[in-house]
Amino acid sequence: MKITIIPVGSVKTFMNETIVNVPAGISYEDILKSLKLPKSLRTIALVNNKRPNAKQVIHDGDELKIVSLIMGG
Amino acid sequence: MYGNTGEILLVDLSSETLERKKVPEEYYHNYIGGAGLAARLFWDWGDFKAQPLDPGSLLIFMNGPFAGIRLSGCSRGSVAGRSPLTGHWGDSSCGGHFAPELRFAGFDGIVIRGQSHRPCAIVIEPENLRILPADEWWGLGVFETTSRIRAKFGKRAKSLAIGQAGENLVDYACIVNDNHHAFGRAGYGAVMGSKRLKAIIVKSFEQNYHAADPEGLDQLRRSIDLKIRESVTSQVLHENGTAANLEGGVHTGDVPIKNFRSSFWEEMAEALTGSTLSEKYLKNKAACAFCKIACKRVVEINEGPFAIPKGPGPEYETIAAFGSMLGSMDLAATCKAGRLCNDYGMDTITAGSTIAWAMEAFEKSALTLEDTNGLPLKWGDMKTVVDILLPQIAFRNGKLGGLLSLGSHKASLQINKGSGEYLTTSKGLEAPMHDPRGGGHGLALTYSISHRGACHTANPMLFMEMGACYYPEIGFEYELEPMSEENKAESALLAVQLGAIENSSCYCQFADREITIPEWVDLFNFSAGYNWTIENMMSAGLRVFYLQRLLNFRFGLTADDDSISMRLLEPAVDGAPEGVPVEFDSMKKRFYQLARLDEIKGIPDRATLDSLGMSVEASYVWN
Ligand code: SF4
Repeated sequence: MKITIIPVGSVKTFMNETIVNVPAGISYEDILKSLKLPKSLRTIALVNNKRPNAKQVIHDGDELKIVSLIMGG
Repeated sequence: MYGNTGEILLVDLSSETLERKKVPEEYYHNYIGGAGLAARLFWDWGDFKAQPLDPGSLLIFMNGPFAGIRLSGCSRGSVAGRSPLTGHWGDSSCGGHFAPELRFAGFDGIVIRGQSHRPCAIVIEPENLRILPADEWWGLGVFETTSRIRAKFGKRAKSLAIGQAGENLVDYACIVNDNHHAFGRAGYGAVMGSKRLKAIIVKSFEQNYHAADPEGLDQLRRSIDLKIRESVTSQVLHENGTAANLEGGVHTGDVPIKNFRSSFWEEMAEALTGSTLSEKYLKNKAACAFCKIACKRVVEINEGPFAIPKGPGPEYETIAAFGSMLGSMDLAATCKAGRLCNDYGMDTITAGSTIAWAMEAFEKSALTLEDTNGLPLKWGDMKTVVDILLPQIAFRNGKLGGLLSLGSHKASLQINKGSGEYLTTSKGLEAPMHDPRGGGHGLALTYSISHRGACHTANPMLFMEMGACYYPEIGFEYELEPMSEENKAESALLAVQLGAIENSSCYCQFADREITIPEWVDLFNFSAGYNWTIENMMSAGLRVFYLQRLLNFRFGLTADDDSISMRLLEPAVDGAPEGVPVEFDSMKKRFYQLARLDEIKGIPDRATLDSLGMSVEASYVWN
């Protein structure tokens, strides 16, 4: 199945928006691990603009946003 | 004494006297410096009956022990006193270049009381301390005042100045250093205005810092500075400023939209984010003294209704307060609004939030055309904000300018009509541009327990929730889920101690994330010779946190005041935090238990105060 991975904020420095083929039943956490972003870049994931549950499974056509957590003050 | 000079300048503007005064050495060990030491000095010397704008009120500028070390982020300063905006104890922090210069001139701080019979300025030069008449500067904005100060005292002189908002006693007037850096929050510019103090100028001759262990400090300083420079966060802040991740914040629901009524606006995210500012308007990057991060922006806008010449640009809070918060995605307008606020000398967070409150009040008919002199207040109408509202507020012109100059909390008490429901405050201070519902539920707790009111810089909770902190030596190893209450009270107890340490040492929150707990202890020991262990340092942080609460108790605050506007707790209607409730009451209850705070009085019990060597202070609040 195909999903779109969209970097948001500072994550754009490390990857571009991409459409990828992933196996059915994969969790968003497994996809995150496969991206190999720098450990020091704190991120959270949104599936279709919502926070996913810990083991939420991804479906065909989902949008996975990787959002960096460096906040201004 | 090492690091600190051990001396403050005591100024009485009524009698026009200036006096060098020694501060007991144990005060530094017990209350660190900066915000903590200022609280301690107010406890000793303050008049608890004096209203914030009375001549008898104290205005206290205080350095931390590190000011003057050539290390990124460590040369901020504090100002403290009874806040005109909230009516209780508060403080505010400022970067820039004033604090190290004050240290080099021989002082750890300045304590000001009284009221001058005419506009004046305090001038601090080694062996030449004086009060000058400043009639010719009165009525000028910050920029013109600063350029006249530079013309008179030379470019090396560092200054703090107020603009027209401070002179006109706008309750959230700020104090500006070198045009670009502000003691922004809680209205201390109005306190200067009430004292007819237009500016403070300091000029030293030598950049001496007397460290307890110069070699140890030099090594430590170099290694910390390298870590700061190389961190991903620093590089991002350097490249695109503090708004670098505004776009990310919109997606997590951290960035408030239209007075915190919405949590997601995708189009706005890209329009206002830091990289867009860099592409469109950035001319230079700027920094506080000795800081390699240089997160500050210098911008220029050549055309359009919001054109501005090259000069100070907005940081994240200003962009959100005059952008998303007002339903606008006009980045140029945020630059112009921020520039005006710098010149008038007004806090951009309270200004933007008060205007957002007024827009909602107008939409819901709590404010009418009669109240606004026929001016409709519409979301996104930035021409009205920039051309009409900000000048009216700064000069307190007309009914509307007068009302909005009070800040949203007092303005809502004045008009009532249910407008309290549109507030986004805690203890009378408008929340910063981080929405606890998306940014992290722990923020709701720490906004409410902060002594000065809703504040994200009182402690590092924001950074702890986003996973930017790891302090195993003090038991902070949690990976916190922002949108949950789990471990938030426990984390908040560490956060309030760390926040007191940060704000009393006057260290920048953006830079000090890279510093480990053992390095913090070494910094204090090598610079100021405090000879601390980790436990001593954390106890000092806790002592400061408690003293600030005791001050507020003496100003009449109790546990009920540790609350926050419902708007910031209601489940969000859209975006990532949609529908997720914030369990505020249970977090607060747990925090009160952990921090041993009395459920009614909101202050620590006597035994806890005794254990921190605060028995004398306890006797004022426990009979
Ligand atoms: S990170 Fe930015 S605000 Fe902090 S000290 Fe450096 S330049 Fe100043």
